[in-house]
Amino acid sequence: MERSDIYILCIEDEQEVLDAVVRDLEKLEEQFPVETANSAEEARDVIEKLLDDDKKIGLILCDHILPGDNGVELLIELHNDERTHASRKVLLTGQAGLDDTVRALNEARLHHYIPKPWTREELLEAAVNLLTDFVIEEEENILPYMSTLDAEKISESIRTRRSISDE
Amino acid sequence: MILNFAKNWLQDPSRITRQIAKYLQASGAFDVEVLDFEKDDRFFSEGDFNESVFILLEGTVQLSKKTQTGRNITVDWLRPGALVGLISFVTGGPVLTTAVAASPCKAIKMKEKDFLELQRSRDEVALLAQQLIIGNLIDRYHHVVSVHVELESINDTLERERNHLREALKQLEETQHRLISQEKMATLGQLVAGIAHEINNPAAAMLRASDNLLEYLPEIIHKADPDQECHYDKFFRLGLRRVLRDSDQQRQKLKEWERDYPDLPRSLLRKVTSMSDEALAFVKEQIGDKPGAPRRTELESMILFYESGYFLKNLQSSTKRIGEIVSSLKSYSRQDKGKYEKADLRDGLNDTLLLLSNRLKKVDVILNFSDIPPIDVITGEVNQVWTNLIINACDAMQDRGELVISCGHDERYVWVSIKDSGPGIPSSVIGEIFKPNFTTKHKNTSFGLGLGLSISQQIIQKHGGKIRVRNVEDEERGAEFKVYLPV
Repeated sequence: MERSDIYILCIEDEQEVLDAVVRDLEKLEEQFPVETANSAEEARDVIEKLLDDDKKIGLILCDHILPGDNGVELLIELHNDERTHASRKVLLTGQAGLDDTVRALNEARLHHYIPKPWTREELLEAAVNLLTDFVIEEEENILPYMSTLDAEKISESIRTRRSISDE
Repeated sequence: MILNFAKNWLQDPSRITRQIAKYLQASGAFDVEVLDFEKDDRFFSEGDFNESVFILLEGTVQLSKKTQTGRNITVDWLRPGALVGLISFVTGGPVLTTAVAASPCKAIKMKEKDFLELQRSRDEVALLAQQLIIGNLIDRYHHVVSVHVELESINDTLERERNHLREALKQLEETQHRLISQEKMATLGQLVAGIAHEINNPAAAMLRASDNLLEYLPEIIHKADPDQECHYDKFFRLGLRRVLRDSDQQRQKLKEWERDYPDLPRSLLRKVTSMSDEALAFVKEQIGDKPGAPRRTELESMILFYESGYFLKNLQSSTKRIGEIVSSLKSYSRQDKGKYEKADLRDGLNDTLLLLSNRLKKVDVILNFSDIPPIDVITGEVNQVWTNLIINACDAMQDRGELVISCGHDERYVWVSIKDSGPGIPSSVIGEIFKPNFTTKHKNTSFGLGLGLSISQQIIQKHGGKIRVRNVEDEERGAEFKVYLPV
């Protein structure tokens, strides 16, 4: 499988949790390289480096509470940065059940919210859906993603694109 | 002219009435009766139209009036020399009060025309009549003044009592709040203790299971690779004591390996390059420069064992953490039923810090613990004080800054100091902060009951200790709360 230049970034300060997240995303890693960061500061660093190398960041998974920073704030910051605006953003949180947190997320236009503990299926499904949206929105040639991502959505999009260009 | 007489005749109005009575009888020109009243006989009733006036010669007359609520109140007492019915007689309106003999009375009853006639009599008699009227009016006026004064002092008393009541009500409300809050804390404590107990069993089982796996797995691995050819055992152990590489360094290594082994999947390379240098050298030694496909399977097996190692380690460390949190929860919320027990305050502080660790993620916590002797405390309650003080400190610093917790002792006290690097407490309110209902958290927190410090103080006082606050004003800023508990 062809490796793309679209990266997945996982930000989590607890190594055990980070290990688990990365392991759960392994299936996607062949196509979407995974990068990790233990803090918001490191995340900003990694993002700069990737962007310098002309890579794209397709998906950002971020812990809710990070040392020195709040995951929500970081995601909002990345949302407002035009270079990471299109990146799909997911908040991993152990503080589920807080209605206002959920609302804040929705209002901050974050794409997904995963309460801890999660299951591999849940995490993968969210990642696949979001990356599908990302490639449809951002990529010209989306055929290579058919096998890893949501094939139905992608072929649907290919059809639509063709019919538009035919007209 | 009349005022000249003032002093004498006002002292003894009955002298005037006697003279008038004598004159009336002697003159014969007047149609007057001298009436005797038994006790409780009525002169007239409130609302009557009165055509006569009585000059009271003997006895006492009670004037009373019905209030709006229908109660009868005494308005005045009239004594000999008084004119009974004077006002209605003069105004011609209905009588304002009911007049009843409070004791057997004797009075002269005069008709209107006779009373007017009396005032037009010989000079000295007219003067007597005027003196009588004026004397009566002065009496009534005195009465009004004294009633006013009395009313004022009653108002004062009422106001004082009302303030007392208000104060009492406020205290009652504060006590109620405090009780509710304590009740809540107690309920929460029970709940937490219950949950901690429930979590304890699965956590214990998990810890045992991971310990067992740790014992069995190397054996199983050995069976999979009895001749140690593939070094699975070694990779498993490397995983178990994984030391993470610096992430920049790893990225660097990953780039190297991606260049050297372009046909190997990135996830595999990422895992390999997260290993320590020693392990990495060993891996390279194993795979050498064999062709692609077998290299990949071999490497994948190594990583499988390596990963199993560190996931087992993660399982164990995470389970241990659950165990620690549960035991902190249990000791923090211990339902010691208000019993004093010997305790090391540092344990309670550590429990509290562990439970608040989420809140303290962005705060630098500095512990300056000196050795302190164990003292008699109610652990659950004292931990509540630490919690209150630490949460207050976090609020003051907006969760960023430095929290210094120190302890020490002298012969009399063990002290604990909790110092934040926030803006300090405004001097205008520093004297108020221990009062119930004092809070600065009106806007943004759901806690902010304003009871934290007042309850804390109460708990500390109950333990025979004291709590002091000051603003740090040397090179740093912030507020320091210092709790002293007796040894």
